[in-house]
Amino acid sequence: MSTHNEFGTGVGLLMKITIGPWIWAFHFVISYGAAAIWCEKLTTNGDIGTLQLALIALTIAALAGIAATGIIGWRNWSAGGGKRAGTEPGIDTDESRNRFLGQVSVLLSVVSAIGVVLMILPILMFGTCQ
Amino acid sequence: MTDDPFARFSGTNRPEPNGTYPPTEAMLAEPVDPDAQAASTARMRKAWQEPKGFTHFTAVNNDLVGKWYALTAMFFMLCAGVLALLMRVQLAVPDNTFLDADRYNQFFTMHGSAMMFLFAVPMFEAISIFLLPAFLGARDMPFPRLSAYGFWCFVIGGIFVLGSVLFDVAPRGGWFMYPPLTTQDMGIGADIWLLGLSFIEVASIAAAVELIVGVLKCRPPGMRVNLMPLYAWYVLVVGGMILFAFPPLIAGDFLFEMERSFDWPFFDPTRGGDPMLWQHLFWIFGHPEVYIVFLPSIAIAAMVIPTVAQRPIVGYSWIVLSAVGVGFLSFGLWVHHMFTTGLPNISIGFFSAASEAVVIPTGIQIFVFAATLMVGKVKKSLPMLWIAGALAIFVLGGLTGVMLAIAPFNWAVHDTYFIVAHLHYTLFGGMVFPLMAGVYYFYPFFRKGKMMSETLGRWAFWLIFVGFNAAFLPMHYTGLIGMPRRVYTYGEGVDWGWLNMLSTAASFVIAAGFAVFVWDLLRPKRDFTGDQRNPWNAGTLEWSHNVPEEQWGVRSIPYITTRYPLWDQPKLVERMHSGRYYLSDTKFGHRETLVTSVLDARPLHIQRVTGPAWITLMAAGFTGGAFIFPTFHWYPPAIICAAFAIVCVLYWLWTVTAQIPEEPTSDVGLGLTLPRYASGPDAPGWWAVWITMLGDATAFASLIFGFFFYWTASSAFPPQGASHADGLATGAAAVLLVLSWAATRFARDINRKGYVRSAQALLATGICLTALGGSAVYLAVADLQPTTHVYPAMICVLAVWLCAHLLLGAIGQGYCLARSLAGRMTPLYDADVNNVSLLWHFIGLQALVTCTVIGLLPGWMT
Repeated sequence: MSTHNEFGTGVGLLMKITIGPWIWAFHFVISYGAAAIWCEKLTTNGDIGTLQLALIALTIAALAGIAATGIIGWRNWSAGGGKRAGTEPGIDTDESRNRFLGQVSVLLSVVSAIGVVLMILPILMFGTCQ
Repeated sequence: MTDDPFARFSGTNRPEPNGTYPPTEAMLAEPVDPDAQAASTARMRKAWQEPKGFTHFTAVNNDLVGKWYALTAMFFMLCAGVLALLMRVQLAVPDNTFLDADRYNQFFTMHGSAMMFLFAVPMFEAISIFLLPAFLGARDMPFPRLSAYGFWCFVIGGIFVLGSVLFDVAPRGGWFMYPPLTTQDMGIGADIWLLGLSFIEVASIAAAVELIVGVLKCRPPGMRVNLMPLYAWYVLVVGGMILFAFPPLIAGDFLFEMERSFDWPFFDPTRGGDPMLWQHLFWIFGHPEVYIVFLPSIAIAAMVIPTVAQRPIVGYSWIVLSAVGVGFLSFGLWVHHMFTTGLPNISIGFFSAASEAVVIPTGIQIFVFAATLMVGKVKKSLPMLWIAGALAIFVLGGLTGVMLAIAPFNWAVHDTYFIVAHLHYTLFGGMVFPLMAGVYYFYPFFRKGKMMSETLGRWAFWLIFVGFNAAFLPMHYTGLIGMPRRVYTYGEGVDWGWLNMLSTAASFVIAAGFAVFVWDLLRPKRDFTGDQRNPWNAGTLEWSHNVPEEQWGVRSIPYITTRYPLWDQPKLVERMHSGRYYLSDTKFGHRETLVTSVLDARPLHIQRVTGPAWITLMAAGFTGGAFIFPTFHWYPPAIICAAFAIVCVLYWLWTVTAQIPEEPTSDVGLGLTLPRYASGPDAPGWWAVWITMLGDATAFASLIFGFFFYWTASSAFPPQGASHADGLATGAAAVLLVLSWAATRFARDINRKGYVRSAQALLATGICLTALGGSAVYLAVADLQPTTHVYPAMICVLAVWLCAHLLLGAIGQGYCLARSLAGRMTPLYDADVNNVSLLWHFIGLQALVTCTVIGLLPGWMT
C-alpha cells in the first residue's frame, strides 16, 4: 500500500479543478491593475487604445487557457465508462472520482469563461478612462 | 529480531500503513466478540469523558465547545437585535428624542459589527465545529484545543466589544469604520472596534484552519471527494475564503491602529496618506464576508433538502461548481461598495461586470434545490418551511443586488434605506432563515432524539416571515423617496413617517417570533416522548449518532462507499455501534481519530487528539489581555500578557503535540495496521502551519498592496528628497535571514538522516542569524521618521511586521532545538522541525520581499 506523501499529490489534483477560476482571477487582477496604472500614470489624455489592445490579447490568452482546462476536464469526465449507454457508473472507484473532478472542471471553466467575457466588456465599451 | 518495536525504523525508513484495505464484505459481516466489545467500550468512555464540576469549562470535546459557541453567538445576536429594536423605536416618529445622535451612532455601529463579527461568522464556526465531525464520522476535530482556544478568544473579545455599549464608549463610525472620521475620533470606541475585532478575526482564522484540515484529512475511510456531504464542500470553500478575506482586514486594522496610537499617517492625506486604502482593504474583506456568511447557511439547505425530498440531491457536481465558483467570483466585487468614491469609470465597469457574473453560480444552487424538491417526494416539515421562506426572501434580495450592481442605479440609491432593505433581504434569506431551518432540523441531533415543537415552530416562522417582509419591504420605497441611512431622526416635512412607523411596528413582530423560537429552543422538554435516533429519515452520517448520548463521537469509524450511507449501506449503523469498523478501541487510553488521504480517504495513520486543559483558557485570557490593554494605551501590561500567551502556547505544544508514541504502529481493526505518528506533509499539524501561513502571507501581501497603492494613487510617493531605508543594512538583513532559512531547512534534512548533533548546531546558528538579521532590519529603518509622511511609515510598518515574524521564527528554531535536546524530537519523530522549516519558507520569502520593497523599489519608482 503505497500512500506516502499522497496528501501533497492529492491536493494538487483537487486544486486542478480551480485552474479555470484562477485564470479568471488573474485576468481580473491584471485588467484592473493595468487600467488603474494606465489611467493614473501612463496616459495624459485618457485615451485607452493601447490598453484595449493589450487587454484583448490577455482575454484571448485567458479564454484559451480556460478552454484547455475545460477540454482536459471533459476527457476525464467522459473517460472510465461514465458515458456508456445502459451502464450504471459506480460511485466508489478511482474512475468515478476522476469523472466527478472532470465534470466540476468543465462546469467551472464555463463559469470562468463567462466571467472573463463579462470583464472585457467595459474595456470594449468605454472609449476613455472616464 | 529484537524486542524493541522501534528498532526496525529510522528517519529514512518510516512505518507505513500495512494490511488489508479496503475491507471485504465477509470481514464486515463477522460479528464482534461481546466481551471484547464491553471492555473496549469502557476504555473508550473513559478516554472521551468530559470533565465534571468546575473543570467542565476546560472541556474541548467538539460537541460541547460547538454548543457553547453557538449559544454565545446566539446571545450576541439577540443583544444586537435589541439594539436594532431601540433604533426602530427612535425612528418610529419624526423628531423623536428617545435616543440622542451619539447613542444612535453607537447603536447602529454595534448592531452591524455584532451581527457580522459576533454572530454570522462565529455561528458558522460553531455549527461546523459541532457538526462537521459527525458529518464525517470522525471522533472530533483534528485540533480540539484550538477550537476551544478560538471559542474562549471569541467570548472575551465579544464581551469586550459589545460591553462597550453599556459604558457609552462604543465605536460610532459605522461597521466599516471609514477614516478620517474614525481616525480623528477622540474616544476609545474605534480602538475597541479595531483591537477587539482583530482578536476575533484571529479566532476565525484558527477555526478556518481547523475546518479545512478536518475536511481534507479526517474523513472516514472510503469517503472520496465525490462522496463528501455537500456541507463539507462548502466548509472547504468558506475556509479558503476566510484565509484570503480576513487577513486584508487584519492588515488594515494594523495600519489603522498604528495611526491612532502612534500617529503614523496611513490614512491622513495631509501627510501623503489616503483614506481610500482603508476602504479597499475593508471591502476586500467585506464583500467575500457576505458570501462567507451565506455559503455555510446555504450548505445547511443542501443537507436539509435531500432529506425533505427523500432522495439524493440532483446535480451534486453543480453544487460543487456553485460553491467554488461563488468562492472565487466573490473576490471580484469589493469595489461595488465604493462606486461613489470617484474611481475611474472603467474600474467601476470591471466590478459591475463581476457583480453581475456572480449571480450565475449563486443562481445555479437555487435551481439545484428547486429541482431536487420537484423530483422528490416532499414531506411537509418545519425545516422545509424555513427553507422555503429562505428561498423566497433570498431571491428578492438577490434581485435588488442585480439592480445595485448597475453603477448608475447604485449612485442614485447609495446610502439610502434601499441599501438597508437589500442587505437585510440577502442576510435574512441567505443566512438567518436557512440557519433556523438547520436549528429545527439538527435539533434532534443536538438533544439526542428530542424535537422542537411543531406549533411553536409555525408561530415563530410566520411571525418572523410576516414581520420581516412588513418591516423591510417598505424600506425599498423609503429609500427610493430619499431617506438616507444612519440618520438618527427626520423632520415632519418628509413623507417617511408612516413608512418608518410600519417598519418599527413590524420589527416588534420579528422580535416576538424570535422570542417564541428562543423559548422553544431552550425549554427543557422533559415531557417529550418518542426519542428517535433519525426522526427525519435522513441519509447522512450524523444521524448514526448515539441515543442516549456518548462522548466519543462515533463508536467505530465506518467504511463509506456512498453519498447517503444511511440510505444505501444497510447494516452500517448497527456495525458502527457494535464497534465493527475502525479504531473501536483505545489501547493506551488516549483520544484518537483516523487520518486519511485527501482524495480517496485511504487510512494513513492514527492521530492522537488533545483532551481537556486549563492551558487553553489561560492562553486565550492572556491573548485577550494583549489585544485589550492597548485599547487604553496601557502597553506594559499588554506586552506582559503577550509574553505569557506565548509561554502558554509553548507549554501547550510541548506537553501534547507530536508526542512520541508508545509503539510505532497499532492495529486499528479489520486487519489494518497504521503508524501512530506522522510528520511533514502527512501530518495534520504540517497542514495547519501551511494554511495559517497562507493567511499570514495574504495579510503581508495586503501591506505590499498598500505600498503600491500609494504609488499609483499619489504623484509624490516616495516624496522628493525623502530619506530611505539604509541600503547596506537592508542588504545585510536579506543575506542573514536567507542563511537562517537555509540553516533551518538543512537541520531538518540532516536530523532525518540521523545527524542529531549537527542539526542542533545548525538550529542554534539559525537563532543567532535570525537575531542578527532582525538587528539589521532595525538598523535599516532606525533613522526614519514614520510620523512625518506615509512613505517612511510604510517602510517602518513593513519592518515591524518582519521583526514580529522573526521573533516567531526564532521561537520556532529554539523550540526545535529544545525538543531535540530533551529527546522529544528524534530522526524518526521529527514533526516539529518539519513544521518550523515550513514556517521558515514563508518567513524567508517575506524577508526577501520586504528587503526588496524597502531597499530597491523606491529607486525604481522615482
